[in-house]
Amino acid sequence: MEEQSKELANLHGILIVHKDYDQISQLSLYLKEQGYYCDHAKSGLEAIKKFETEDGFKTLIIQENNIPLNAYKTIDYIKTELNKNPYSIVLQESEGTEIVASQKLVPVDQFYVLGDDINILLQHIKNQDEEDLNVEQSPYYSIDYLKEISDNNKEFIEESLQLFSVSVAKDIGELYLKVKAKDYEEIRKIAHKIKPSFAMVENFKGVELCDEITYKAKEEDFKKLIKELFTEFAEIQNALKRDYPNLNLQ
Amino acid sequence: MKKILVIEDNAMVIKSLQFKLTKDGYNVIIAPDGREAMKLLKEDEYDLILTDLNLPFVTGNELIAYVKENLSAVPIIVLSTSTQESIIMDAFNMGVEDFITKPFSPNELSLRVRRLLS
Repeated sequence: MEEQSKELANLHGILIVHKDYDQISQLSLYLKEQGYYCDHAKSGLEAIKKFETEDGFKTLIIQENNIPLNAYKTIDYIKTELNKNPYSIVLQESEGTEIVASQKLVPVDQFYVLGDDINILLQHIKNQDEEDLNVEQSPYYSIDYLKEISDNNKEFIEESLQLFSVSVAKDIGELYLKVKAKDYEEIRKIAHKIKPSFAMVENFKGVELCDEITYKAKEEDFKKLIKELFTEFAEIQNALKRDYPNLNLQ
Repeated sequence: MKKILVIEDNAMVIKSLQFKLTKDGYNVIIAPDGREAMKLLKEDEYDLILTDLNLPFVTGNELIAYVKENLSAVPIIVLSTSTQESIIMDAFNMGVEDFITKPFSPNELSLRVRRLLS
């Protein structure tokens, strides 16, 4: 279970829902060969449970006429009740299945007829990854360096962002205390220590401010510079809270 | 498995060094300050030391002096955010084998560590 979670954290997770695993085993194997993490659920209820307990499923491929909950009811529940928004593909047994009006209201991203060219399905899934990469980057931070160190390990990146949030907040708090105590030598040391944290999230204004505090600042400059550093940190923190709500940053 | 002692006080740098070096197949031991590092060095043997220069309690320079006097066979790589030439030269004059600036390039770190441990 722990290994599964780790794999799911690192790979694009796909949940395939079908009452008969044999019918979708080839599809599942093919997607695994393409580097995706694939899991199987027999019913919509089982799928909902998996979405409730596991993060990381980006794609849901679900049998249209699954019972007791069909594809549309399952997708609707996951999106409205669980507030999760997987790319949703309805698996049809044959082309042109009639969709009743109420089902049309459920936002389905794609339909796929079992047995059709699998590359079309794969292309839709790949497009999502490209869209993810094109998401507008915050001007206050970047995770490119963290991706480079970890070969894009999601767990590492998120833990590093949490560490940034907690450790820099603590260190900036220390800076304010040292200003009050007029301990300028210690202020320079703390700024020197914080500098690589800003560098690792590629906030170069923060890096410059740390350098200025460490090497150049006069006694009367410290208060102003530390305030500027805190403002920069708060901007990063706000952007992280928006981009990573799952991290529950304070 | 080669054992590396990392002496560093920035939590993010520690995490990234631990991740990268462990992935490269090394046993990584962390000391968050100079005092803890001295204790570990007296208790166990290490194949390589990676150390910051600005450390709490015992400075990087004091630590380097201790290692060069008592454990001269153990190579040292200095990790520092400083690119000031005088600081780098001082470290080399004390006998350290290499110098890497933070944040480090993962490939550069791997190559430099491998070179010293080969």
